[in-house]
Amino acid sequence: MIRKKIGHRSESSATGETGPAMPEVGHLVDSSAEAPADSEAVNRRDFLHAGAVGVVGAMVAKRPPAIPEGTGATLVRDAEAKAAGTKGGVRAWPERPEGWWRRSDPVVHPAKARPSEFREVEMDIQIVRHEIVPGYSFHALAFNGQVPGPELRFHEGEWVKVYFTNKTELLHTIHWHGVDLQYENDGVPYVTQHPVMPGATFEYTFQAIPAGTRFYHCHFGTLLHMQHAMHGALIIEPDKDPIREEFGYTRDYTLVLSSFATNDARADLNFMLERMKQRMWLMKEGALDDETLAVFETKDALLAAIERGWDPPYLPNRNQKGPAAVPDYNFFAINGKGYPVTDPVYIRRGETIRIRLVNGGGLEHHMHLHGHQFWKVAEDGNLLNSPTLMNTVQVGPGKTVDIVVEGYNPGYWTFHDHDTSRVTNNGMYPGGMLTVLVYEEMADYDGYHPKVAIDE
Amino acid sequence: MRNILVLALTGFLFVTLAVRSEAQESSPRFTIGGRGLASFNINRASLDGPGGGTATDDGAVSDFSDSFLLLRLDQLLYERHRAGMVIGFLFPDAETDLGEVFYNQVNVFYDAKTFAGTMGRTRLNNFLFEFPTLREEDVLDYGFVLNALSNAKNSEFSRYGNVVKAEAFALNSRLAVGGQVANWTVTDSTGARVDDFEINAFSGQVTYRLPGAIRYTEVLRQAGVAVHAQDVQVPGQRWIYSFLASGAVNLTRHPLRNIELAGQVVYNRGISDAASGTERAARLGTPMGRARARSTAFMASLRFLRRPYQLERLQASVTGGYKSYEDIDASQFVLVPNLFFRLGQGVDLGVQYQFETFRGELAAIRGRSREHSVKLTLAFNFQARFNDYFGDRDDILNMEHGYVR
Repeated sequence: MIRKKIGHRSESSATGETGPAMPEVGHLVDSSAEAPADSEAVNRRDFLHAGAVGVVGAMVAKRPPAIPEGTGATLVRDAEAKAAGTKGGVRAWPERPEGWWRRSDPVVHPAKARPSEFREVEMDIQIVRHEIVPGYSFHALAFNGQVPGPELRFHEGEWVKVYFTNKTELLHTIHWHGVDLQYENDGVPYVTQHPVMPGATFEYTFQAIPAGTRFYHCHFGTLLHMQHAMHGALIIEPDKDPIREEFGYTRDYTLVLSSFATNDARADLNFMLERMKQRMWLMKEGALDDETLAVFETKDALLAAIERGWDPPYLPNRNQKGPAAVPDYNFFAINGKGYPVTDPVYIRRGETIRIRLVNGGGLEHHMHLHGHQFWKVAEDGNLLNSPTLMNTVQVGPGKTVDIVVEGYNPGYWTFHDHDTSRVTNNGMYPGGMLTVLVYEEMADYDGYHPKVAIDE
Repeated sequence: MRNILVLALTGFLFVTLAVRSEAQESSPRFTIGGRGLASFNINRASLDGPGGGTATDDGAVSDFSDSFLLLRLDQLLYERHRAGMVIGFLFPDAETDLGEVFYNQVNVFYDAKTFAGTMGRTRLNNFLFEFPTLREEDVLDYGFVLNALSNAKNSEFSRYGNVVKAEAFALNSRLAVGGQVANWTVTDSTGARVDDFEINAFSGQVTYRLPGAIRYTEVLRQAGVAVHAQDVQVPGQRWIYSFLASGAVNLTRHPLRNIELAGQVVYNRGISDAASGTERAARLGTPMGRARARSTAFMASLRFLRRPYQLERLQASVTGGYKSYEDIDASQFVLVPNLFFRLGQGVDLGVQYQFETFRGELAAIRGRSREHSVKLTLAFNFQARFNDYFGDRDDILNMEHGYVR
């Protein structure tokens, strides 16, 4: 049995450097299917050269770039892919990938499956001070002390036990978002389990299926808990990854997108902690009743309580949350940090990378990559019917999106939410949900290199 | 004129907040709070005559004193400390000469993790525990070090003054060592205020207080000791010293049915002079004389708070006080039971009965042996905070999960 304590974020997870060494250039196709195949297929090095001249040269008009090689600013054509049928930036998979997921058999209860081996993981939840940008910290609910929580990677089909210990005075669960599991491990308080009490440990058991980019989050007081850092990426890796087979990506990045309403959360957390201290005392004394906890055995019991004169807490005459009930988001992060301290995404010319976008917050983001078209290949962890070429991808709350970026345009390219109110730190632009796609060759380039501007 | 100026300042403050200045980069946090308190008081005072007869004096009044409004603005500083200002006024008793309103809070403050300071007019540090009576003045004689520089018939001069005070939180946010230099309001013998703004009082105190957010978590809720000195400058004696000690405990930590027991003692060394007993007794006829008399005051209260679903709904309390004057055959006793129902958040309907006796020389001097009063009240309390962009020293996150500057 493997028992793994998920501690500090691993180096490979932080940098995204997983997978084999860089192979040959992946396949790109033209958006114009009518173009003659023989004239469009170009040498990869020539293409990169031309792209660099076209874009970087335009940025620094008086200084010729020193990364030069290539012939054209058009996309590489791929006769093989074209033969499979492409049009308008949409590419069909060459054939239905082997890893294409379709389920017909029912989910197996762990007790019936009796797996001989589990992957075991220890997780906890703590309240920590998290510095999202230099000089600004806030109290966050952090899995294993990290914001976001540690990235979990399992092999498809692997049985998993997660020992989750609650080290706060609040109630929590973990919901495994997008995983097909037996319902009592789904982590929804009062629907599939009792919430995990302070100091208690809950054991989640599930089989890691289906493959794809998933995530996990607390499902108790979700508005506050999930959006205030109780979320993290959950990657289920198939034996044969159709995206890797199709695109040959070499590095695999995960970008967890988060939105924080730090002022509302502070008020709300203080209020919840005050209330929970009292409830914990009542619980120990056996004096916590349904009406105080606002949890009833049945709907009829709730209606009976109202009939007796009990006012539900959502009524305007007793709603105690006030303005904190509606978050006023003021900080935005990628992997727990806001620009300018977001980790860059690195690429090399000719390299193809995969980026997994996980929206752990409550806002919709529109991630735009400058200077490139990229392929959207999966949504909610599931392969799309066909990859779609785009430069701005929508990632809604609770959504994951996988994209593949091909390194054909050396430079520094911002990758950010195009709702620029989220490219801010406490209202100051630029900041927040912005990172940079950095070509590693740029270190040797004598042209313009990025500065760190935080007040425009 | 002074009132008009302060009102103008308050109005300017509102306008400034409403129309944010282009030059202002960071708006302050803004807290407004207040209480509308009105009661219908039925009073009966009686004096036992030497021959056994009793003279009574009955009355009924509508009383809105102690209603107040407070505005607090504060800002996070470059060093991540906090500073701000408070402006507030209350409505004093009609029988005082304070006018329609009394500006009880006009101060600036500075606050950080380990210390807090205030300059301006604010509460005097002359008590350690707030007892659960309808108005503070109900038990002023028992619960406070009285102003020995004022002969005015109001409670405000014994509750508010112009101060410079500071507290250091040496170990944690519960334990504070503090001190205050103050200008207590000075009056002449008729009770008329005189312009004397010299420092005329000092105090020091050590207090342990459970912050409100965790008030039910431990048995010991409050404890403290304090010493006060007032610069009375009478022949042969410059200072009057007073000593206080207090404690409060949660008899039950039940957050839905909490019972709290509290007590405080105030020992006032008073003036030591060669006055005869008769002269000393005569002094008890004035507020200043009573404040300067050597005395010991005990107070205790028992409070029951019913909070179904963690919402305050009912409070029942009884507060008692006893004060004796040394070297004089005089003492006084008060008993104040009350009951408040919370009708909605911040809105209380209540009734309070107060029984007070004056014994010995004090009865004759004050013209009454016993007082009974019944007060029927409706009170509206509120507090609202806007632009709440930083935490407080004593919020739970900062106290228990690492202080965020």
